[in-house]
Amino acid sequence: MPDGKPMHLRTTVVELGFEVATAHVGWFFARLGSEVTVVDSNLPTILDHLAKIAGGSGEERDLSSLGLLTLLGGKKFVLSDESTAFAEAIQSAEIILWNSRAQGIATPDALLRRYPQALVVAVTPFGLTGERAWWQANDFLTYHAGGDAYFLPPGAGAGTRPPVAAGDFAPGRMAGWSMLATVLAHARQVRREGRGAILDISRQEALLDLSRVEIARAANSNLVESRFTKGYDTGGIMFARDRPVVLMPLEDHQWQRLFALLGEPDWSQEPEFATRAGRVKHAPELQARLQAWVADHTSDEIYSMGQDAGVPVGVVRKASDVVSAPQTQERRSIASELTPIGRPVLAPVLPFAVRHAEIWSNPDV
Amino acid sequence: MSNDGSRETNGPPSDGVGGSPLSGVRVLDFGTAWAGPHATETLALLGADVVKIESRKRLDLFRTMAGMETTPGFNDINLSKRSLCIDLSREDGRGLARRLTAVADIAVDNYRPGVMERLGLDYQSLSVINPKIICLSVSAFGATGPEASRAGYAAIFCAMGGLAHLTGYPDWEPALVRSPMDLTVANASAAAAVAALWDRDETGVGCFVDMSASDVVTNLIPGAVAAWDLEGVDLNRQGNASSSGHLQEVFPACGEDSWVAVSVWNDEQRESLADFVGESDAKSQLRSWIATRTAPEAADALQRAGVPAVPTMSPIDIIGDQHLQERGVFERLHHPMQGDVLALGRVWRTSSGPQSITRAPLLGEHSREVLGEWLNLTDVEIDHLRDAGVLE
Repeated sequence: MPDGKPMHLRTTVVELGFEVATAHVGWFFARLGSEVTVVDSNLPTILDHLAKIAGGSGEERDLSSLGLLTLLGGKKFVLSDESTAFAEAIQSAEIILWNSRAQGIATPDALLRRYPQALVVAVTPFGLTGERAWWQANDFLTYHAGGDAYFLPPGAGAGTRPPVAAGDFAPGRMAGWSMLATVLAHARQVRREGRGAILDISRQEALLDLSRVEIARAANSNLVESRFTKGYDTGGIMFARDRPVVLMPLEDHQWQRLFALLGEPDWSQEPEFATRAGRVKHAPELQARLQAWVADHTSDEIYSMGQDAGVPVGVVRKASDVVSAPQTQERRSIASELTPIGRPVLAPVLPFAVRHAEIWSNPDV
Repeated sequence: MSNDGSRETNGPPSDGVGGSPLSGVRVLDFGTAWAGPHATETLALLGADVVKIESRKRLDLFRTMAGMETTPGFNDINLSKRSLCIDLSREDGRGLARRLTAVADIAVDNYRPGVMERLGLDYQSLSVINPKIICLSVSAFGATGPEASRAGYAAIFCAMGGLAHLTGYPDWEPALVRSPMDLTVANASAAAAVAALWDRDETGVGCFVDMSASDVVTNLIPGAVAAWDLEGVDLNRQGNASSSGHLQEVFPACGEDSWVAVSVWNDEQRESLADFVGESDAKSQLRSWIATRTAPEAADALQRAGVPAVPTMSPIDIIGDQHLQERGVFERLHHPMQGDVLALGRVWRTSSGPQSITRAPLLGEHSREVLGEWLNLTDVEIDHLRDAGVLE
């Protein structure tokens, strides 16, 4: 490939309004070589705010918002929809990503009339139609309306605490991943047929896709779940000496291997522990014994012993752990890139590698 | 059609501009459970002809959970596909699978690295037969690196990828996001497959896409990664609180396990909130006001007052939601074993209007049909394969 990238999406994209889900779609295109332009008159304020956070110290700062920098990487900026730069960008755009922040610029219908060969992707909290079409909602709110927040945090101990949304940028980026194949496929079709279209994507509906099985169970088998029923009767989160781990033996043979790691104590030899029903029946005792064993070791020891024995185990990693993990380093899953505030920042790259012939590459690096 | 109007037909969705952008694309689904099957389901809902390769000797995990043909999980993750049952433990079964890949565009699996190699169905083997094939392999940690051979389920890569640490309450254990992790990985995989198709349009050659579930999770936490890199700070979970400090909380409404999420992030909304509950102690005022109303009533009233709010929706809320029904999110299908079922359809609307989806296939339901269409095999040839045990 001319620039060394093993996969290309050569197209032009304009993001009208800057918000996470559409910025995620634009980010994917930018990572694979497309020309992406962001139009938002508030960008200088956003960038100034992020620069102050990155350069500040001491007082409480919204450090998490620094993640916005990674969604801006590789893109061009136009600050006004009345500029020549804007006219040039939108005239050549094959894909126009529109969100609620762009309402003052043009409606999706007006955009399609004006640029009939473009794919106009309208991403809104609840869709362009329906009784909630006018509702305001950020990613936190659409996550709560999208089905999964109802199941968090999982476990009988959730008690009277409210449901929670997934952390960091997950609500917006999960919606972004959910809509991306659709955008790509329709953009490819528009390009082939030379006829534009409007895609009406609701962030709520994009997130419903992620709870589809729970919805299907409730609708079709009378199995109604909640966060109180979603915890693990056996295994799950346990606390090693240094940090939490996740024990996930799901199949009987995996449990037998776990018991072998524990030295096959007498109780594990009882026939009841050979089946899930039996293990659940003895859950309090089983959990206590597992927790005691885990607490005697570091998380790395539990992970190595478990995985080497064929028991699915994981470590609850912080960002610093993820960055320094050998797997991350080997696959170059996180890379440094220059940001619009002039400082490089580590950012997750595309989560896949591509191989043509004998050469492995991450298309993003 | 059955008497009540629900559709009983099964197979690839009908062609149509806008609703079937992947019409004509052939996909082989070697996957099991969540990630691989939902990736190909997404492609099927976009119009691709997706054939699920199954085996009675090694059933899809979801088919083993309840009734083989009646598990809601399986039937919802495998919409609009066809099923072909081959014994892949036999060399002639694997040979048949290779013949299918010769005329396919995309092959997807979510086995541990090494499994497809042992079957002779890996990219190295298939690209010799079909240089245009796109092979997408989804695994917990990717096909390369020191952890490539490690086992993983959604809860594990949620933890390893860094999201669990950031989800939940600061004074409580980390919260494991489970099925949405699998399905987000599936969605990322579907996107990568379509991107590979686009790339192939220009280059004429296929590729191998090695998707790491753990890396998809890490992709969701750029804020935490940036905070660590720029400031040396490991962010912690913060419940529902906003990282920027604006009012954001979830309040109990009237009714069991009923909640309203509220978030106010700009000056205009803050003024609206002050107008609604008064200037002082907005949180307490909101809590008292919401507690005496149902979640939908409270959210709607707040929205009309200019204060962003939503009910935290359960599956039952979602199924009965008027707005979602108006949007045509659900479709009623007829399944010969399960009866009438409600399915979540496409998560997008186009200017060309809705396109139909079809139910999940019965095991091996389309073996004859697919072999006739894709490989032009005659009934006699197909009968021979069945009698020989290649087709199950």
